Amino acid sequence: MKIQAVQAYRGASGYPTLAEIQRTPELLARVPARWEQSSGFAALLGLLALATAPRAEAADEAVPVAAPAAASPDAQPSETAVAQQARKTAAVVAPMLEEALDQDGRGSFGCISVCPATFMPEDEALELIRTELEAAGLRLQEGVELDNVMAPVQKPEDAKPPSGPRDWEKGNELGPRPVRFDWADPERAVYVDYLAQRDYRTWQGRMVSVNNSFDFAALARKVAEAYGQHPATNKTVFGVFFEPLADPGVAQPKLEGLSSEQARRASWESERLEAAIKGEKSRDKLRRQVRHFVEFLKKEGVVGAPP
Amino acid sequence: MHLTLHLTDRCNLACRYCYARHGTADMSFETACAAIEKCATGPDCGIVFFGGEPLLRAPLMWQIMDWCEACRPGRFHYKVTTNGTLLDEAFLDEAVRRGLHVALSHDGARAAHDAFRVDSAGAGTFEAVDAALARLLERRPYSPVLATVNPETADRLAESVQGLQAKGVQYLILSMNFAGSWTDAALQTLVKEFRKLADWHEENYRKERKFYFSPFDKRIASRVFPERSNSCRLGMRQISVGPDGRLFPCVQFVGRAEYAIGTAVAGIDEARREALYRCNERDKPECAGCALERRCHNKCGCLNLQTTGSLERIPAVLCEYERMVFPLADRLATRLYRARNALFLQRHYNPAFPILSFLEDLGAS
Repeated sequence: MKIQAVQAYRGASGYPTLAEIQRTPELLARVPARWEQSSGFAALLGLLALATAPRAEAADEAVPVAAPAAASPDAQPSETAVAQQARKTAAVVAPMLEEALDQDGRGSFGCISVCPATFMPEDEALELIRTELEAAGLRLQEGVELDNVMAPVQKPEDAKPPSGPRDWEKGNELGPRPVRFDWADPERAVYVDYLAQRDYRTWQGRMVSVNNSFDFAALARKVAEAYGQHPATNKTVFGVFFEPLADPGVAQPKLEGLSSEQARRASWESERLEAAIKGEKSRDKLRRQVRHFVEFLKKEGVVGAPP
Repeated sequence: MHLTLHLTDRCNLACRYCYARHGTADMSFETACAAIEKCATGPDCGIVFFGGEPLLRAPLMWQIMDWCEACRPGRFHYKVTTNGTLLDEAFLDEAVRRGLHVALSHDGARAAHDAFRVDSAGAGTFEAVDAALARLLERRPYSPVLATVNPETADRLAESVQGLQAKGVQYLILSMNFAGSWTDAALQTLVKEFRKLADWHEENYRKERKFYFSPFDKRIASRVFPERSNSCRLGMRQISVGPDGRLFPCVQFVGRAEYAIGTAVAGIDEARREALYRCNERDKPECAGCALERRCHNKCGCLNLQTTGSLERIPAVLCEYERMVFPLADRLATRLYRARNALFLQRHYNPAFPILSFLEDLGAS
């Protein structure tokens, strides 16, 4: 038994703080089934909602608003870009955040790399995207497939990962497979894909080796282009987000004059700091991509319009 | 502010893990009133009756409550923590009538309970306390139950917790006996039990069984409310009054003259209180850089004093325990959040949950 400081702990990042969840107040509209089933209790909930009106109003603002324009034309008198695209029976791919395309998503790892890439944990990224989209009013499902939307190469879930180039060639032989969208709101025909490390293999058709460089921005353009070819029969909107690969901007510690123990410690502390900053920056950058997409959805009337 | 009145040093049990120094001192009515006059500040003050076994002084309890209500009606709320052996129908009727909340010590499974919670002859008290639990829950279904976990009975933990829930307990506060003889093997056993309980508690949420389980739910709250301090703010939010009227910053300090922070007659020695508070608040050097530092119980002065003899030193077993339970609690919360579990969301994020839950139960009854 010993006292030991926990140096890196991500365990709590999978659920929000109160301040974070207040940005998605509709989550609190989910009540236990017993509450819903009791008519008397429902009345009490109504009274409570009245008593806490400011909170309820805040919730209303974030609750989903518009059905797709095609379903309620009266609500959308002016023809939007989505509607125009719909008439052309082509899907719309939401424009990606220019700033992200210019600056983010590039990095490398392996022995040649000075500042190795640090990937966001994929589940954390997906949770962040889900939280933001649900806050905008989308009702999301996981892993939805869409007819005729294929990735060029995709190994089945249960396949062994390739252990060498020959294996990978075999993988290539599998050919196109349907894309399983990370999140989708089929009712509003919104499909989003987050390009994480493993998607590189799926879309680029090459193995991720011990020395590798990534350009997720370029990959995102390629994926967006592919989704744009989808022959939609209603107004389908695709969103593409990508791993930001944030650069922490932490200066390397000066190790001159330090004992080997001190140098090891300083170097280790610097790595910890770098990882923490990268994580925070990545979350922030990805959040901006998603919010940019949400703004697009609002502009197009797919979700509630901006106030 | 809470004022804990140690009505007596006497106890009718001889629990093997009890930290208290059992004596014969009793608090007088005058001492209790003086302490309340001097220390019970603020518009809403809790009076906690404690011991020894406070039910040995039940008449004094009623007398104090009468006096409080006569002086400042409605300003106080009352709670008693009892071993349950004297918790009879008459006491419960009176407690309910007066609005006295009762918390009961019960260690769960018979084997776990009887191994430690014994009378002066060494006989287990499970039968008596279990019967008291039934009586209590019949009148007050939300009464908290306090269970202590010992290394020798760690393998009974899941059985104990699940058994208490089956008996109707909805609010369980688990205390570790950190002063016990914990070994690596006992901690291994404990982690297995906690893993079982994490799965089981997830099931509670999924099946919408309302059950507050402090090891997980309290730690989840420490993530949900990061601005809340993990510190007990020693002596600032709660003061213990010994039977002789000396004031102490918390229950386990009672009787240790070097930690007295005043008397019922003279009031609080602010300089002394402040000094102890600051001492307890100081960051622990061994916790520097720990990612859990803001959430763990390393600033529980009572616990540190009891186990290491110093406010400023933490026991290794506490650190081991926190590193064991936090990941389990956080993984549980993550799973429930990802499933958008309604009970989880309501309990942890809706400030109105207690009242809604109460209304729901009213509707059901």
